[in-house]
Amino acid sequence: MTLTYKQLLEIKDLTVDFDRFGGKARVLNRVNLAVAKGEKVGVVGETGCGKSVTMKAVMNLLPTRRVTVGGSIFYKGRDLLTLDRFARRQITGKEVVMIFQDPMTSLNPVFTIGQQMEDIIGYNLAGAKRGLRLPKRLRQEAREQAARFLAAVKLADPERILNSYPFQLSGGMRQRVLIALALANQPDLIIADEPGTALDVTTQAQILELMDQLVQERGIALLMITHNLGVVRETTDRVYVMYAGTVVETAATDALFAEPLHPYTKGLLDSVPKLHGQGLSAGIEGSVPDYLQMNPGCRFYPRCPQALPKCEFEPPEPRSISENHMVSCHLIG
Amino acid sequence: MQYILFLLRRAAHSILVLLGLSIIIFIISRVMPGDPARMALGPYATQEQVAALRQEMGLDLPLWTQYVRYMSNLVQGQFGKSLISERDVRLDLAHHLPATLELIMMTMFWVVVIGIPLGALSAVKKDTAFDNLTRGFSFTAVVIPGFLVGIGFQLLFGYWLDWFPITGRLSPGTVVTQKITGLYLIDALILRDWHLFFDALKHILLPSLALSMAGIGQVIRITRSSMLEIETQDHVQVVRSYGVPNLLVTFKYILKPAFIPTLNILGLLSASLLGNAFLVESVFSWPGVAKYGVNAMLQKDINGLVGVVLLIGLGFLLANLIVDMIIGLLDPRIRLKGEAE
Repeated sequence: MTLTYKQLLEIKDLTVDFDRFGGKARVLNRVNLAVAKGEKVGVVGETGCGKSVTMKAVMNLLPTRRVTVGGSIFYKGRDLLTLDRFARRQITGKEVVMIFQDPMTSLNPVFTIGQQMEDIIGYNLAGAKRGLRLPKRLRQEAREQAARFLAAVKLADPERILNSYPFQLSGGMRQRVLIALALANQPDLIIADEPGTALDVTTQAQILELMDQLVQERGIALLMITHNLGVVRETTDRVYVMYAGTVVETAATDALFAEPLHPYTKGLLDSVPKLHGQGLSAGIEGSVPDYLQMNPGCRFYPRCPQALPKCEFEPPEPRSISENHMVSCHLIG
Repeated sequence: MQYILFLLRRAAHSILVLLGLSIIIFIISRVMPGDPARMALGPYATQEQVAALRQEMGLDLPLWTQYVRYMSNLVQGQFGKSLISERDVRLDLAHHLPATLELIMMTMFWVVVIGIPLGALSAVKKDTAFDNLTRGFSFTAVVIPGFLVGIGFQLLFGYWLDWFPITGRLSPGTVVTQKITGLYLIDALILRDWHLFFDALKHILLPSLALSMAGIGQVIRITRSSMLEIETQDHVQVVRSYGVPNLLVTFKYILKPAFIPTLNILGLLSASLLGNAFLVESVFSWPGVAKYGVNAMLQKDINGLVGVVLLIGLGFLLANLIVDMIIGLLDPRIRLKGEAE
């Protein structure tokens, strides 16, 4: 089946509801997001604003009970949400892979790196998603591939790494292992959830640079979730700003940093400490509100310094400012 | 290599614990109120007879000298004569131990083959009717004392249904042609004596099941909760996100790390089983060492008491050593400690 598609990944009106004690929480409210082939896209926002939930919805990692997912997630023109479990696994985990936030907890402590990589790569090579035993030949092939990619992420002595347990490796090495694992499946899209935030700054910088380079070489699209604006500015082509389960603004990275339009984006950029100027930056008052008691209008209304009366009851629609710049705010236009 | 060092450390640790235990039991047996010699000889013995026995047992010596004698005997493996049976305590223990050992091994067998699969299934089928039923069962099983279960089983399966015998280890007609280990089930297997095997099995079924209930309940709970905890951890999400088959994720990547708390519980269980065994042994007239030990305690048979306590302590340490060994095999962080970084 060949489908024509413009975007590699296109999320349309994605809505996620969690059944909580005391009511339904709308954790994602009509999120729209797209990644083109080979493009590097950032998603920024505070903790708890729905970045990770969006990515988990793509990866089919949300719990199935008490969670309702609406809208569509198109990958190469096919809606992932309409596919059955097995068809979906041919895509997520193989063509779309995710690098998790914390390298210290992302590897199973009681299996060697080799055992874990063999299983993951081997099952993707096999293509069969059922059955418990990998043929020996595939296991061997998976191991060789694992070693190749460990070398690609500049880990010396891949054989030794394969025979090590996670606790025998440093945080930076584990992060490299996770990147190697993601690359080994030869994906078209990597979703990276705040890569390296758990590491020290210099290691993080090395890791990001390495990842950027490897992704670039292979033409893999990158969707990076982060709250680090510096990282976004350096590595991405386009940015989505999320707040409380909605996309409030999206633009080319340069444009967004040059001319932020949404008050939340402005606040976010203002909160970065600068070398010049006096004192600490202003930041944004308050924190992400309770999803059970969300403002019916603009979700940023309670914290917005420039709120208008109608913001309280009327949700703003996304509006195109220029070709690539969209913003959802009553102040604009 | 690291693993062997780890085990040696554990073993050395066990010996220290055993030494401590021997000191504690010496002190307790000497400060216990009541005169062991008087208890042994009964109220009609004369003062002289009591004094003679005290002297024979060395109870008239200063505490320090008694301790030296006690320790040197222990090192040689001597416990002295039982004041009740008037036989060497070692003979008494050898006579009573196999029955209890058999009972406890059978009990552990049930705990493992019933508790772990039920706990794992309960975690996999979280919040379903099966899970709720299993959890209800596990709470009930933990709460009801073993001897009560025993009496219930006797009533139901022995008296009303008449499926199983309710006392003893064997039927009156059954003979053990050759004692090898003293564990009838194992002896029967070695001798290929199927009549003996099934008779022994019929007798051990009810007491071992009654004794295992609390353990099964605990193991269900701990296996279920640790599997659910591991399930939410990042590394499980990672293998899931790569599309590794669910069955493999559950039985390899979740069950192996989840097994460690369960094993620890099994080690602790072996100790509490010995305590509970007394009641179950009494209910089922099981000629075991737990019953012997309690009698020794009540009748101030200090030699018998020391023997039983040290034996139980040794059993407990051995059980935990085995548990440590398995945990070491499962968890590289313990096995390779000291090698990291």
